[in-house]
Formats: sequence, structure tokens, C-alpha cells
Amino acid sequence: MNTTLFLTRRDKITLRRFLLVAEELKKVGMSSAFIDLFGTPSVIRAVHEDLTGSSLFDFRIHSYYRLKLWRFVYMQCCRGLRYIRSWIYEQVVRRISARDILKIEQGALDIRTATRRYLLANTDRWQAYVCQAECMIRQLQPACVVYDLEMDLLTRAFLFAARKNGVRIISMQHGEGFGEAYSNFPQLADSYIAYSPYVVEKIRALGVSDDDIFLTGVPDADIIYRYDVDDIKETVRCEFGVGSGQKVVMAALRPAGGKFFLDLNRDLINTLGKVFGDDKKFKILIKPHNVDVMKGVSFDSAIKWSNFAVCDSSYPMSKLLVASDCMITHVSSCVVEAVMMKVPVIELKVSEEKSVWPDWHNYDVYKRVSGEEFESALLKLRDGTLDMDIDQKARERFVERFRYKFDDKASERIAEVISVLC
Amino acid sequence: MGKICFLIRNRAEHSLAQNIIQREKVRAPIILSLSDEYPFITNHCSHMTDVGNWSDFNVSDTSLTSYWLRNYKQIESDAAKELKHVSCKAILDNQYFLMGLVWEIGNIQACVDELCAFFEQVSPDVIYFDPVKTTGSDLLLSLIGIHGLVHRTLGWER
Repeated sequence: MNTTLFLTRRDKITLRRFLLVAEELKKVGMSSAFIDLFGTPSVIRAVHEDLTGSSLFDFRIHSYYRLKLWRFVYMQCCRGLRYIRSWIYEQVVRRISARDILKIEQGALDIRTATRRYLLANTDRWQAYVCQAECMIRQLQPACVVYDLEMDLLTRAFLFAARKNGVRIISMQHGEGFGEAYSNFPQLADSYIAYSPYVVEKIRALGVSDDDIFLTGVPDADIIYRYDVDDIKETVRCEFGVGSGQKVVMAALRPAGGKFFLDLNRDLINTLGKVFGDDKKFKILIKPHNVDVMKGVSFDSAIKWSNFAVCDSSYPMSKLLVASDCMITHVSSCVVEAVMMKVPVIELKVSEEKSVWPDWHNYDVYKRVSGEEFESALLKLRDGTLDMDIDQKARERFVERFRYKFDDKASERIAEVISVLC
Repeated sequence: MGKICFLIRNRAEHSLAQNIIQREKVRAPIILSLSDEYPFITNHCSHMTDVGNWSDFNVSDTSLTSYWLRNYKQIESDAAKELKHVSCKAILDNQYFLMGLVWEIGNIQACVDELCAFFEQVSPDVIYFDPVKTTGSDLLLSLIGIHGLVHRTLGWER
């Protein structure tokens, strides 16, 4: 049976998307397996259970393991000439690099020293990763490899190994992709799944032909259309202790891995506390970014007010949006989901002049405020004087550009694409 | 005494900086935080006494500006010229490997740009900073040398 191999990281949103597609692939008779690159097989099972409500998990999970030195050397020796060449190369790089420090000349980084440092630090790792990835790909013999984000060396090593072994690579974009800068990327996949017409444009700009781009919509949207909205609203309000008549303001935080975002998130929470703290008319739900709990970041200590609650970082955004009267965030792809679900949004501007995000704000479908304006906007929101009306036509234009088809068939469409390609 | 800038990484270095400020009776010192890892320029110590925020000096957060993404093709082309001198094409002739290199070079260059602008704007005479063997540290030492600033260590024993 043709197997689709999903490369998984710690991102629960992506895991949910992969699992939605895997469930659909099962229906068309294709098997799916997950390569757990970062040692979190239990997370895959937990997301699946949350998604299906069942503990029955019938997909294979293969954990990536690092090669032992003797095995790595043996495999390199088997590659004969290539090994000898790379060994000589490494020795040369080592000697040159030992003499080089990171140089800067006339305000510009000296590429030579930076390149050599990078090669010194990563060449061995890259070879080991590719070697192991090839082993796993030959062993599993997948029909295709699916990934979402190519940012880490290990994922790219798997993609490279897949290409070398003639296995089709399919890209399921991460979030909104890389927005405006996406078109600068090299083409690493054979086929691209696009969640919106906007992303299709960006992928075309990579040089990908239209035959290799598949506009399907985002799998998460399927969940929205499968909800009984009233039921979900009631469940969420009950779960977070939202009283009757209380308005829900949800703050979607940025990833707190970088210290900058950590500060940004804390400032946001403190401002919310200043305006809404202990106000019984409002319930403030803090939604940490889905990567944060994996990194051991907790915002619980930042919550000092009785009407604040912190959600689990993997809590589906769409469920929270169903129960929210307003969402507050820094620039983030969740604004698209919020606008789609007609939830008013206040976006706190961050470094807009250098932003690489899509031009969502140009559609005038949400309130955008600077750091200085933020508190007064919240005060108006509290007093009910903030104008949150959205022009319906503008909203339609926005949704048409940044989303695709309002139905629960996106994961089915992706599964269909995979089954045809593989 | 001219302007004095302290670049610290943690609470221990913050204490050392404060000792120096008291001992040397430094007036209006600039204390900012740095990280050894990307994005290097961080505000992770800004909650400590007298530690400022880089944005007060118009220094952008490089993790937000995504310099490497916006300049991907240019960086890749510059790096490719350099890689012509390297013989191991099996490793280097593929974009899967090169993406990491572009990311690294782009991030370092973004910090160079921001820190150069900072040094030109603030014109400190003395920088107190404890170097370690990391990219961020090497980068700062090079910049201190280029701008002809006096470098002193905080005296943290490692």
C-alpha cells in the first residue's frame, strides 16, 4: 500500500492538520506514517485523541534516532570516494576556520568567515542527518514525504534524502507560509498545497508551475464547519468559568521563545489587567502560542486577576473564537480565522515598516493600534464605545483572498491531491 | 568621562556592572542586554534595575525584521560565490543545506546593521562586555574594534 510519510515537529497545529489529512487518506485506502523528528510521539497521539475523541490510533510513528558513531563511519566508508572527499574538505575547512574570526568590513559581514564558521559547525551534522534519513526512507519506502516548515536542518535533510531517492516531496504550508517573503524561498518540494489564493501567488513566484500548485483551503477550517456552534460556545464558556452576560476577550499571544516576544506578551497581559482586571463584566482568556508549552514557558504567574484564565496552548483557536466577543493579538495568522468567523479583532502593531506578513491590515477588516493607542482602545472596548463594525464587502474581499471555500472538505481535497500524485 | 555602555547577559553580569558604576561613579550609564544566541540583541534583562530597552535607541528586534528572508536571494548568491572555492560539491551544491547558511548569514548581518547604527547614534567611548566564544560575542568584538571603542571586561570569571 502507498504510504504517505508526514515529517512532524512539535507544532500541534500542524500535527492536527496532518492528522486530519491522514484520516481522509485512510478513507481512500492510503496508509500514513509519522516520522517523529523531535521525540514527541505522545504529542501526536494526544492531538489525535483530542481531534477524534478516540484513543484508537492506527497510524505508525517512527522515531528519528541519531546514528551511533561506528555506524555513521561504516556507512560513510561504504560511500567510498565521497567520504574521502568530504573528509579532506573538512580538514581544509577546519584549518582555515581556526585562523578566521568573524570579520566585519565597512559595516558588512565578511561572508567568507561566516560561511566557514557555518560549514565547520554544520557539515558533520548534515551528513549524519542525510545518511540516517536515507536509511529510514529506504526502509519505509514511502510514496511521498509531506512537511510543513523547512526551517530546521533535520527536516531539510529528510527532504534532501527523499529527493535523492526519487520520493515525491509535498509541502503543506506552515500557518500563512512566510507571507511576503515566501517568494524569495528556493523550491524544495515537488508539489505545493496552498491554503489561499494569496499563497498560490507566492508559490508561483518561487518558480513553481501551476501544475504543481494545489489550492485546497486550510484543513483547520474543516473543524469549524463540523462544530455545533452553540454547543461549542457553551462548552468553552463552561470550561473557563465564563458567567452569563460576561463578555469574552481572547488574547492570542506570540511565541515566547524569543525574549522579545516574552516581553511583548507580558506587556499585553499587564495592559489587559490594567483595563479589565477583576471587572466582572469581562472574562479574559489568554491563549499562549501553541509552541510555548513545549518550551516550558508558562504565563500562569503573569495572571493576577480573578477574571483572567489561561488556556492550554494547543486548545483549538476556532473553538475559542466561537466563544469570544473580541480577539486581541499582535500580527498573527489567527486574524484570518477570526475575520472569517466574524470575531472583531484588535491588532497591536509590531515593527510594521519591516514586516514580512501579508497585507491583511490593508483590507480594513480589523482595528489596528500602536502601543501608545492600545490602552485607550481597550478602555473604549470596555466602555462599549470602540467602533468595531466591519464593512461586509471588505470582509468578503479579505476572506476570498486569504481563504478558500467555506466547507469542511479541505483535508479531503488535500488527501485527494496526495492520492493522485502518489 | 564620556559615555559608557554596559552590555550584559544575566543577573551576575548586571551586578558586576552595577559595582563598576558605583566604584567608578559612572554618570548616566547605558545598560542593555545581549544574548549569545540568535537574535543576540534582546531585552531579556530589561526588568532589572537601570537596564534599558534597545528600542529606546531605535534598535529593531532582528527576529521580527526577518532580514534573511527579505534578502534571501542576495545572501544566497554572495554565499554561493564563496562556496565556489570549496571542493565538496556533494554537500554544498544543494539548496536544502544552503538555506541554513542563508539564515545564519542574514541574521548576523541584521545584527551588524542594527549595532552599527546604535554605535553611530550613541557614540559610546567605553564598552563593558565580557566576551565568550560565540558568534554574538565575536560579532560585538569586531564591531567594537571597527568603531575604535575602548573595550573593558566586567571581570566575570569563567
